[in-house]
Amino acid sequence: MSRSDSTEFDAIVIGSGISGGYAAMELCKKGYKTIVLERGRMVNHGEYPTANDDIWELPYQNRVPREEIEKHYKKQDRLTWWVRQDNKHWVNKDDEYPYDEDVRFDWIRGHHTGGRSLMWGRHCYRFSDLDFEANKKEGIAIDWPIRYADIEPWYDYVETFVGISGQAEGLSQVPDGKFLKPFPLNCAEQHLRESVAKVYPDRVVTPGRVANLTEYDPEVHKGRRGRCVSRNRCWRGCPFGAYFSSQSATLPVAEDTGNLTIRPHSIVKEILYDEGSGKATGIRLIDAETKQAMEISARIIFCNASTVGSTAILLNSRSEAFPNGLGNRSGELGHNMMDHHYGMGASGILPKLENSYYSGRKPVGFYIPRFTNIDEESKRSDYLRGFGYQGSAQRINNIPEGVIGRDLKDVVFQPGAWQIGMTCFGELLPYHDNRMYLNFNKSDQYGIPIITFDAKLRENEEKLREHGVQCAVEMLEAAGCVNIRSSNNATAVGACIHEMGTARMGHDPNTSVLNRWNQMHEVPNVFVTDGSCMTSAGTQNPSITYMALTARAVDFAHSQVVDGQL
Amino acid sequence: MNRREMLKYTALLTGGAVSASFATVFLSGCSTPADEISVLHFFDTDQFELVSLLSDTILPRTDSPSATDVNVHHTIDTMIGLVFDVDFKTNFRNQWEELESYLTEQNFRQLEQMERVDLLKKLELNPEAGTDSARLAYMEVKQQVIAYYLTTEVVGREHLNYLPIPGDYEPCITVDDVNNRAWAI
Repeated sequence: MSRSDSTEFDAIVIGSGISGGYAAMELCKKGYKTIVLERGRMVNHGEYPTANDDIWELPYQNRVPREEIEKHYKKQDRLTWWVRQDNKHWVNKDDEYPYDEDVRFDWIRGHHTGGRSLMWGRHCYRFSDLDFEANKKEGIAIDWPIRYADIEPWYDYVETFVGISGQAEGLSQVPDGKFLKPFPLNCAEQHLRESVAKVYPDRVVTPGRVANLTEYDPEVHKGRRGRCVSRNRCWRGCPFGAYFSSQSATLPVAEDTGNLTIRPHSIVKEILYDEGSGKATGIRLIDAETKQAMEISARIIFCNASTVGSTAILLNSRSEAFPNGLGNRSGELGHNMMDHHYGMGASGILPKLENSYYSGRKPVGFYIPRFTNIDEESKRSDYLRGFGYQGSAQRINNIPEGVIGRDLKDVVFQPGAWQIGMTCFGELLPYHDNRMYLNFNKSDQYGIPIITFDAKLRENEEKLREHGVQCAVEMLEAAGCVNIRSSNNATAVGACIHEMGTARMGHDPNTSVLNRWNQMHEVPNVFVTDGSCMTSAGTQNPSITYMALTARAVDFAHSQVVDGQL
Repeated sequence: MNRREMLKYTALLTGGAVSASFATVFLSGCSTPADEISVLHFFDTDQFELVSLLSDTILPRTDSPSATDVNVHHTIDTMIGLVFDVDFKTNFRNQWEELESYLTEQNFRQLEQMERVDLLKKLELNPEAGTDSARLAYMEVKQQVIAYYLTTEVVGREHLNYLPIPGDYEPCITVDDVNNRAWAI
């Protein structure tokens, strides 16, 4: 992957994260000379500085000292589990990447090659027609222009390459995929599955479906991949290539075609539009190191700078034809900001299975797919849509009450009680009023207008949360847990790091930015296939859907080129 | 375990060729542990002595190291002084002062180990009226002592089950399979 001085390519991909890497790979495989523009630094596979550090090798118990937090990470650290010694090199410093908020918005991103594909949670759940039909059925926002049948073969396609471990359950709300063997539930998790199934047959505790290779086939899992060795240090970067990232998978495969150029330190300022042809001609970028502007031209542009990043670039791409941002005659660009909301759940102690333990640190626990508003029987009168859970069971430290001294030394090295915890993830509806916008009166060090957020949870979310917490407690009770503690502290939008929806897909150019192929209604050679394309949020972790839509969009773009339309 | 041993060990566990990129695993090497801390960040010298005494009362030296043998007292001082936020510090300082007075009243420093243990047990389980804050400070210290102790290298490698690269995940084993020892990491 070399830096190139060339300024003409067949395709430009803005962003090297999970969808940008995928777009680059698909374009390169089809023979397009492709340049990937990454605003951050270069990170090659294996350059993961903390990957092998044990807890005693990380200063401050893996925490970051207050002084450093105050100086660089004050906003990032509001998400209290996020900034740590082992991952802070993947965390943007607030002082270098300013943004404003009318309402608190946790904008968590990583500006380096691979983007958040290095730190992602790796959970992969398919959307279903329950999601694709919901807006239309309920009269919320606008209809999705696709249905499950449109994306199903593309889920098959990307899942095979990505490698998803999981267990088929035959649930219509999270369709089964092309699974590698699951990370099995441990004894306590299996006990939870069975106890919950007895009392609540519609609630399924299943191994989390994650992009970690439980089986490795070099013919299929190309790139720099390898089998998972159960270290559970994924977010530091995996030297084994056991989880899917741009570094471990898509970028090396793209590179092997000979068609890839990757240019780090390249901050795309705007997409250039030619009114005569009605198409984009290329982009203008600022080199982060030299602060010099330069232009790069291409026939096709894939915008994969993340939901907020892509939307900001489009909003900043103003011309006579598009005074409010490229392809934004609908006025929807920047609106309908979604995320999932969490900060709710429960945990408890399971006073059973004292002789059972596990070996290894699997990188995932269990998942409980959505079970409300699935059908008439599960229909709720107090809120729309639903929620799912991620959780796990493990044995905690053995610290009996009131025991210290020699007696404590006798027991403190033994495994303690089982603790089961689960966090609920809820759907956030697409509200037009939830938005991001650019403040053209204020700019960053590169002369780019400051991004400002104005989005919040509303009544439907509050109602949903109450039920989500209640159901978590019920399930722990069903398992026989004691000392159950529940919490409901609403997160800010952005905190789930599933921000989406600000350049949504739709049938109608008057109410949406992208068509059913992730192609801009008004600028046919620009495709947006990151989270900004989403018309509703579902409850599922969304990355695998972005990848499926990306592969599908590249295939469509290619057919348009072949047909002479692009 | 040195790097060569670790590679060999991993290959055994995982049955040979696990990864196309296996060789890259150890290229980045290990980071250097933080230097031993020689200055105090939160407690004064007298208070720090009391923290040390508390730490070793909670986890004394037996056939395994005591809390201060593995520098837990310094870790507590560093974490409270440099890592925890102002609200925590203010709150803890108030509670700590209560604990300090209580222990001074009870001649804690002059007691034998068994007497110290009994005194702290009583504070935890049957606290006298007016010792709420002192008890909270003690519970905080106790929690930190144990947590930091279990995350030291000596304890992790020599007294817990240390398995840096597990290989397969086994969902259900018995505690006897691992001699009733918890995993280090």
